[in-house]
Amino acid sequence: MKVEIENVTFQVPSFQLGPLGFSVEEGTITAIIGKNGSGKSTTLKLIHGDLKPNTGTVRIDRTKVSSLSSLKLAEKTSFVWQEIFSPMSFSVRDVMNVSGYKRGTDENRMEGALDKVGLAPFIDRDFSVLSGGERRLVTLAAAIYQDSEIMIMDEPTNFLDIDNQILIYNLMKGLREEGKTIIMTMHDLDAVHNLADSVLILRDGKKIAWGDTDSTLTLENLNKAFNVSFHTYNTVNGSSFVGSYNG
Amino acid sequence: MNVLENERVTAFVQRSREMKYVWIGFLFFLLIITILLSDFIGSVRIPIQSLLEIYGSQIPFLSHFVPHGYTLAQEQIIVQLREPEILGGVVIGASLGIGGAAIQSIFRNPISEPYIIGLSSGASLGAVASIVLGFTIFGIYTQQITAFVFGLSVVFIVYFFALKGGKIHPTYLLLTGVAVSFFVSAIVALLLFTNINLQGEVFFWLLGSLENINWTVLYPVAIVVLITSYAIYLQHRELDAIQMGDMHARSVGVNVERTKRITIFMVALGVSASVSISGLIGFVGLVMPHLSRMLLGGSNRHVIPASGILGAIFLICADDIARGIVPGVVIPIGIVTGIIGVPFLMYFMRKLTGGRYEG
Repeated sequence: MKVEIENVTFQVPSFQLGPLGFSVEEGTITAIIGKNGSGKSTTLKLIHGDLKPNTGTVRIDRTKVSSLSSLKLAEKTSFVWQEIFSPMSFSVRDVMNVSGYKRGTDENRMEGALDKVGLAPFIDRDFSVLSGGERRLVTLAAAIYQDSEIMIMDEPTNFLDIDNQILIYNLMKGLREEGKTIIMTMHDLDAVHNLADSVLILRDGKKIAWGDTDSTLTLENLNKAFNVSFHTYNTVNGSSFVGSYNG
Repeated sequence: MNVLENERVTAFVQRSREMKYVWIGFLFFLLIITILLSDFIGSVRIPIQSLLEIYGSQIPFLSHFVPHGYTLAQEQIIVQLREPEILGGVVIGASLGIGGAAIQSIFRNPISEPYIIGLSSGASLGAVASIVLGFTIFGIYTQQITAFVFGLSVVFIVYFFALKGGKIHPTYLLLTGVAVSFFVSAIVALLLFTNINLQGEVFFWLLGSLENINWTVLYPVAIVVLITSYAIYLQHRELDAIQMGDMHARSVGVNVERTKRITIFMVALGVSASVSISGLIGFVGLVMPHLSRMLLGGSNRHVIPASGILGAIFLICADDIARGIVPGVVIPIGIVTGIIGVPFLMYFMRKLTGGRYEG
């Protein structure tokens, strides 16, 4: 399922985004990067139709997102939100059931989705007493359980320790192999470099660069986007990495 | 609470949540027992034999085979006084409990209740205005009908004030409800201030009572509450989703604004109808959903029916106390729900939450 963003602008009194135009291919991972307040989450909400653009259109599978009903949208896309609400006395199962709204409860698939994030034994635990990282993993499992073709994720590795971050990166690669399309925001540039097929770089609501990861994630674009000096460092074993802090 | 006790309570809560339908069945059984026992309570003592015969005489076909060993006065007391009052308690308690569960889900706020959207202040204005201004437009039921109409009208005013760009934001709705309620309550206070000699009658309405409920007013209210409660129950999956946030609910396929519209309308209709015949009864809509969640977990599939049953049980018991604690005197039920209910809530909060509200 292709996602097309055509000449989209969005304006509120204190912020202006766009014009943005890019196209996300089916079965790819797209990362949106930029400073805090650069418009990353706003872009995701515009793609998902939660915000209405002032100009331009967003199309999912050639249909305008604004004309999709909630049910149709849920069939095509799932969303892992940055903010996690903790509903009153919900168990992990209750949270998962919410994501099964469209398709109905399927215990095996629910346990399978939780198993992918290592939380199958937590199914009857109280959601509110889980740690921030565990809650994040449950919301990722819930998005997998929703089983939509396009997965939109707003900083999916927030709150996660390093081994769970790697778990999620591998999970994303697996989902891409299954043909899922992932559009996400992320701050970890190493992960973006290793995972993403294409990258959108934003600064103050403006597009700095868009394209495949290797040609977009350059020192020049990063310096422009983050207003700090990025350098290429060589490690003792000869590999190089991009960084901005050298103590 | 020490760690060991905390773990024991958590294990109890966990076990009770695994037996959800057993709990709902047990609560329903408890409701039936409470109804039957409450028929005994009152200033006139009626033997169990007579009570059972009176019950039997009300069941079609069975009535021909039941001996009629009771007096006409006993039948009148049970059928015309105690039964409508107790069943009124069931209907009103259920509507407040169910309304509370639904409103708390929409607001994602554990301290909200049906009255927060302007219901109570509107109904008070209707009832007080009809008494003070001497309305007789709907005959002897003018007070009930004006309370119902005003309650519903103020909810609509709150809803349309809170509507922004076709959407209802929970915080904005909550603030609008509180603001409009203050405004309407000020008008009620003004009416009371300028008509001091009417305060006794009005206070009884403002503090709530099941005493004046008869079959004529109970039937239509019961039908409204039955329909609205079922309509709210049908929204249980949508209400669960809304608890995860409006945007999350939309992303899983829920039509959020339609769910809010239907739920607010149904709660307003059911609870306005209830308070129109009972006056204002606090506490039930706030607390019964919490008690249900402690026992059965957070899913509205179980919280909505359990809140209804618990609301009914609680209100009947409160009415029994209101009628029975001082012989010959009926205390307004709102006083009983507050004085008995609050310590009861505090006890359960400490015992059953296992410290979850402490962190």
